[in-house]
This record gives sequence, C-alpha cells and structure tokens, in this order.
Amino acid sequence: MSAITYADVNKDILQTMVRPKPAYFLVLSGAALMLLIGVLSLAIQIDTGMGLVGVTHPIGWGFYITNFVFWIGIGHAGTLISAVLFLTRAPWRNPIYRASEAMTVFAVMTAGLFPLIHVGRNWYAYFLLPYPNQRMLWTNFKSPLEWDVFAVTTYLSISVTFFIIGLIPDFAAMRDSSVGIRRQIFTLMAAGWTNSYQHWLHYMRGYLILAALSTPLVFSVHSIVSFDFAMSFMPGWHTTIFPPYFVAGAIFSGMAMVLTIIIPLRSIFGLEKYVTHHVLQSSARLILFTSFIVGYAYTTEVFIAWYSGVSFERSLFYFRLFGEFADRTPYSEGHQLGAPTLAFWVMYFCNVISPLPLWRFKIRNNLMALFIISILINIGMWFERYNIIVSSLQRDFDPFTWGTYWPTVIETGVTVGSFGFFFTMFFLFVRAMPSMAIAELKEGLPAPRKNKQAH
Amino acid sequence: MKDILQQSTLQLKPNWKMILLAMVGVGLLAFIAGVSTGNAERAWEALLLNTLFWGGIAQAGVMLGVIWQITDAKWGRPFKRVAEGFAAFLPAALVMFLLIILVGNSYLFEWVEHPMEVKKAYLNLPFFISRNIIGFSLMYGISMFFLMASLKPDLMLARSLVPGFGGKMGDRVMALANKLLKNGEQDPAKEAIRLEAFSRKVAPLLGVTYTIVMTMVAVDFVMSLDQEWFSTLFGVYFFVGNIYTTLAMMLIVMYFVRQKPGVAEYVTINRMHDLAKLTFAFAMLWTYMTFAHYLIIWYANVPEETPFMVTRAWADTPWRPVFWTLLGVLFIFPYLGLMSRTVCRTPAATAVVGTILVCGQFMSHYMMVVPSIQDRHEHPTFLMGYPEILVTLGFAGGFFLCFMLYMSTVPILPISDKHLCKSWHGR
Repeated sequence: MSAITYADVNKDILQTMVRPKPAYFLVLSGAALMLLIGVLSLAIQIDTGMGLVGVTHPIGWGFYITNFVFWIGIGHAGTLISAVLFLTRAPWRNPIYRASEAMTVFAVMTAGLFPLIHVGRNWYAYFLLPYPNQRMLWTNFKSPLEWDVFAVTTYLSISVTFFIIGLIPDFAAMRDSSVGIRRQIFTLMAAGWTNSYQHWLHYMRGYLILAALSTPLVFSVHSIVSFDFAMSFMPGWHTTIFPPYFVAGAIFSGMAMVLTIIIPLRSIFGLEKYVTHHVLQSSARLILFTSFIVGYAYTTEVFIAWYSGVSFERSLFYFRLFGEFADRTPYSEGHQLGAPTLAFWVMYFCNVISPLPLWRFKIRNNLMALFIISILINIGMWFERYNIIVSSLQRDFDPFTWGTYWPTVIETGVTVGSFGFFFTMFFLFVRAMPSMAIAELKEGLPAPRKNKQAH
Repeated sequence: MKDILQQSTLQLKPNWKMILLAMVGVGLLAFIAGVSTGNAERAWEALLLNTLFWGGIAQAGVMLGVIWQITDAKWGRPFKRVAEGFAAFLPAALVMFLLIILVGNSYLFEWVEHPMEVKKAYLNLPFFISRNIIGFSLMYGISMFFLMASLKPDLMLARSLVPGFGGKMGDRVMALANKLLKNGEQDPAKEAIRLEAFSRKVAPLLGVTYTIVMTMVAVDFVMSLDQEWFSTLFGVYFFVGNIYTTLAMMLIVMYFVRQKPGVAEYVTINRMHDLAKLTFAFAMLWTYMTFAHYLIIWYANVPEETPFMVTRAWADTPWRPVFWTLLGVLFIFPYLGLMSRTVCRTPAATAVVGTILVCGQFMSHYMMVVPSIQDRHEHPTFLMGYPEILVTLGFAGGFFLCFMLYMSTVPILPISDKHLCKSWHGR
C-alpha cells in the first residue's frame, strides 16, 4: 500500500459520499421496493390481526422468530470484527470494520422489530419492559424471553455507542471537507474534534475500554437467544451445546453477510486498494473456522441424540433428517418429506458442505466464488433457525399435539421486507457516512515525510 | 543465537532426575499396591483421572503450536518450543490410555458388565477398543508429523551452529524426523521454508482431528462413566478445559525458562503479558462453557441430565463444597487476578496464579471423573488419600521427566521460525 498517501485515503473514502455509480441507485431502489412490500404486509397484518399469520397451535413460533434469530446472528460479526479483532491485534479488520459495525447496528434494529411484530397488538409492546406501575404488574424475570429483552437492548446500545465513538474522527474529516448545511451537521456530530494529541489519547483509551466491554456481549447476546430454546425441555431445543453453537453460528452468518455486502461495495465505489484480497481471505478463513464449529455442533447433536437412547430425542432427529417414520404418521397429511427435512438438508449443505472449497487458496482468492458461498451461507443460516424452531414444535412429546406449519403470504412479505429494511438502511448509510474508517486505514500506511524518496 | 544454544538449553540436573524418577517409582508402586490389595477401583480411578489430566496437557501443548501456526501470531513464537515440549509425555499417555482401554475397563465403566440395552450399539467393548485405538493413532500420528516439522529445521540449524548439539538423543530425533519427513533440503533455511509450508497444511488438519478425537475421549472416558447421562456440550467443555490448563502450566514453566540467559530478550514482558491475557481469555471461555452447561441442565431439569449436576452441586454429597469452591478458583480468582496489569507483567506473580489454576483444573478433572464412579456406591465419600495423591505424584514426575529429557536435546527457542524476533516495538 506504499503508493497510497493520507490524502488519497480521505479523497477515496469521502468520494463514496458524493457521486455513486448508477449501480448504487439500482441496488438501493431494489432494497426500497422490498421494504415497501414488507411495510404493506405489516400494515395489513396490523389492520386485520394475527390470524393472517401461519403460526397457530401447536406451532407458536414460525417465520418471525426465525427472522429474529437470523438478524441477531447477522449482527454479531460487526462487534466481533470491531472489538474482538481489535483486542487480538488483527490489522486486517481495519478496512471492513466500519461497514460491519453499521451492519450490526442495522441488523440488530431489524431483529428487534420481530418480537414486536410477532406478539401482535404492537401498541402494547412496552409491556416487555419492566417498569414500576400502580397495578404492581411485572414481567416474568424467570423467563429467557425476558432475558432476551435485556440482552438485545444492551447489545444495541453498546454497539451504537461503539459505532458512533468510532465515527467521531471521521466526522471531523467530513466536516473539514464539506460546505454549507452538511458542514454544520458534521460540525455538530464531530463533537469538537480537533485531532489534538489529547483527543487521540482519550479516544484510544475509550475505544479500548468499549472494545473490552463489547467482547463479552458478543458471547452473551446469542447465548441468551439460544436460551430461549435450550431452557425448555423440548427435544431438539434442550441441548447444552446451544450457547456456543449459536454464538459460532452467529459469527459465521455475520461474516458471510459482511462478504455479501463488502464485495459489491468495493467494486461499486472502487475501493479495491483498501479492501485487499488479504482482507477477504482472512474473512474467508474465519468463515471456514466457524463453519467447522457449526458442522461439529450439528453432528454432535445428532450423535448425542442417538447415543442418549431417549426415544423422544431419537425420533425428533429422525424426523428432522429423514421425515416421518413411514409406519407412524397420524398427521402426515400425505407428504413424507416435510419442510423440516428440506430445511435440514439445505442447512447442512449450505453451512457445512458449501464452505469446504474455501480450503483452497484459489477459491478464497476468487471474488465470485466468495460471493456465491457467502450468499449460500446466508440462506443456510436462515434455514438453520427455521429448522431448529419449527421442527421441534411440530413434534412434541405427545402425538396429540403434533402439527404442521406453513407460512402465509403476509409472513413471507414481512420477511422480504426485513431484508429490504436492512439493505435500505445500509445503502443510505454508505451515502451518509464514510463506510471505511479513515483514521484506521491510515494506520497501515507509511507516515508522510518531507523527502518523498525517503522510504 | 549461538550463545543461547550453548548456555540456555534446559539441562536436567542429576539430583532432579533422581527425584523425578523416585516420584514415578512411588506412583507406580502406589498403583500396583492399590490394584493388588483390593483397592482396584480407586487405583484405576486415579490412573484414569491423571491420564486425562496430564495427557490432556500434553496434547493441548501441541494445539497451542497449531493455533500459533494457523493464526500467524508472532507474539507466541518464543513459547512454541516449550509448549510443544509438553508433547514429550504423549507416548506415556498413549501407554496409559491403552492400559485403561484394554485392562482397566471393567473396573471403571459400568457398561462393561451391566450395559443399558439401548446404548449397547455404542457402548460395547470391541467398538470401544477399536475406535479409541484408531482415534489415538490418528491424533498422535498427525501430532508427531506436526512436531517433527517444527523441530527438524531447528535441530539442523542448531547443529550447524554448535556441532553435536543434542548429543545422542539429538541424533535419534533427527533420524526420526528424516524418516517421517523425507530427507529434504540440506540447508537449514531452505528446509525451514519447505517444512513451514508442510506445517501450514498439517495444522488445520490436526485442529480438526483434535476436536473430534477429544470429543470422543470425553464421551468414552468421562461421559460413559455414568452411562445414563449425556450432554452435547461436554466434549467442547472438556478440551477447552485442557487448553486452559496448558496455558496455566505455560505461565509456570515460562517463569523458569525466562531465567536462562538471553531468553528474556525474546520472551519479553510484553509477550508474558500476552500469554497471561490469553490465559485470562481461556479462563473466561471455560467459565462461559461451565455456566452454559450447568444453567441449561439446571433450568430444564430433565431426568436424564440433572443427576449429573445434583450429585456434584446440590445434593448432600461430599463434592458439593468442591464444586462451588472451584467456581471461585477457576473463575473469580483469575478474573480478578489476571485483570491486573501489574500481575500480568510480573512473571513470578503469573507463575503463582498459574500454579493455583493448574491445581484448580486438576480438581475440576477430579470432579468430572470421580463422582460418576463413586456415586455407584451406597455412601459415596470424597476420596483424596494415598492412592490418589501418590499416583498423581507419579504422573507429575513422569510428565516433567519426559519434558525435561526432551527439552535437553532441543533448542529452547524455535530458532529457525521465520516469525521469531526480538522485541519489536515493545511487543
């Protein structure tokens, strides 16, 4: 990177906010269209009621909770990259950490909507929060669902803080290079940053402390999401490997989403010299590693279900893998291979098999291959959550409470809308703020000298 | 570099050799006495516990090398040779595992004589013996290749700088390395490049093999002691605990290694600080695993799973106080102790912390193994008498004997490693 100067960094990063290529508007309008579908579906659902949604007894959790877990998972890579990789001194994080942090914030925002959408009567959403009231009504603190409320709000507030603190020096750079109303806005947001030694000293201290505070959150949030399932005694939900397995899965899906976003971003805005192949390769290696962890977890779950000898565990995993037992199908409704079986094998293929080519250096170095694999992983991780949530609810202990689930158009519309919401927010962010950290990029460059030939 | 080779190689002093050999002898005698005087169950129990503990440290030492190789971490390089030195105990561990698999099985595993009908397909002797022999030969075989690939260029370089380095043992190690890795280049620098490329390929393979085989070990040697119980997290919990123990052991050993002249230039205070920080991270990871494991079991209270926890943590058993004390020793103590920058940067202090953590992890292994066996009896008691203590002494002696004998033939630092450098920017 010796050819790049400090001035180039400012120029290249700030130009992403001035004149994007037409491809940008094409992508943005696609995302906005998806968002519109979601908003319309949600409006119809709120107007008519929860009857429009496929969830009913015995399957109380369907697409919405799947989406919730999926988006929370996506929101993990940002903090991992910005905090954990900062603490472990992995410099390849510098070019991608800003975009992934933004991704985290938007993904957690998207995720946070789903419990509210799912419970219906959205105007009572504040019931989720414990607050002193005259009727002495309190939330159930013993419920993992309530722990989730705390975990997700804590995570959201810390990631937003981390995100904004990281942006301050860059806001100052934008302030210095803009005029008019933009300059006034950025002056406000830069919070009086002058690049002085004192500012940097305190900034780096604060950043380190925030990184240390966020690191446990990377683990806690998805662990607590996994408790929603693991604390019950449902076969397929209650299993001790869930917390680390969910955390690894979240990092896995988050890293895949980072690649899904970064690869187009770098080519639309011409940032190839910053997001180098080394950066993408390191991300690919992290994906390979976490893919192995989720593969290990899938296999262990199936193995222990068999090893346990408990008939409920065994039959549930048989159901997940191969569908109904041929001779016991009180509610089979004609089809042997149900949606859970499909979900299981999609999940297994996308999350365990499809990342395997990344063992090859050539594949890790191939942008198209990386992009396709990252998309496959996103699909696979969505189906993983669907598989966990729906298949266990379909086959409870008592065959009397067995059932099937099929999503409705409304649920699908809201799901599409969530992707629209996320991508719209993200692409607006790219226009409004520097999508790469200007100051951190400069850390990797040789310092400017008077004598240009010196180095 | 030459100075370090000549002055700073670890040498086992004759009187220490005698002491360590005496420890091994005492342990052996205690085991034989236990088996022959009607205390067979306790003797085998102590053997199993120690094999898992010391064998776990030996294998996890290799894994630290693997982690540094895969992550390209430069700070860890000066520790590499010492961590991999723990692997000198692997052959002994293999013998002990074979002893348990082939001879001790009926004393330890209730399924050998009273199997559960539904688990017979997995828990039966022929399958148990064959899968473990395959698993161990796979893991130890790949480890051997990995270790030799990291050691060979070092020995070549050492011998070109100091002729005859390592003596007869050095000759044997070189012969073994040549046999395993083909003869390769004559120039140490070129050979280092060739074997570095080889290590890059072997390291991830060994990582994958390690997790799979150690999960099998956790299921077969620990989980199946109580054949009704099962838990999906147990394998991970087990090997994370092993790596945690090994890091704590590194804190102790590196304190002594650093005393050797010239080593402190490479193993700087900053790097010791990094080692302490990694230990802290693993302490937190281990605590997280423990918490997740027990919270889920406790909350759901499923009849097949809960007894494991009730026996250890809730019921009026002799193990209850140990369980809760361990939480303090292995979580709160390192949490507060290793959080302090001053402690982390004082090697003598981290050595003390490391000692306490190793003892704590030993007791944690004890809590995994012993209650499952003793709970079969009418009135289970907390057993820590002469069979346990003496057998442990024997294993400790054997472990350090193997370690020191190995270290006396190899350079103390991985001198041919491309990432080995003196303190750079204070790191």
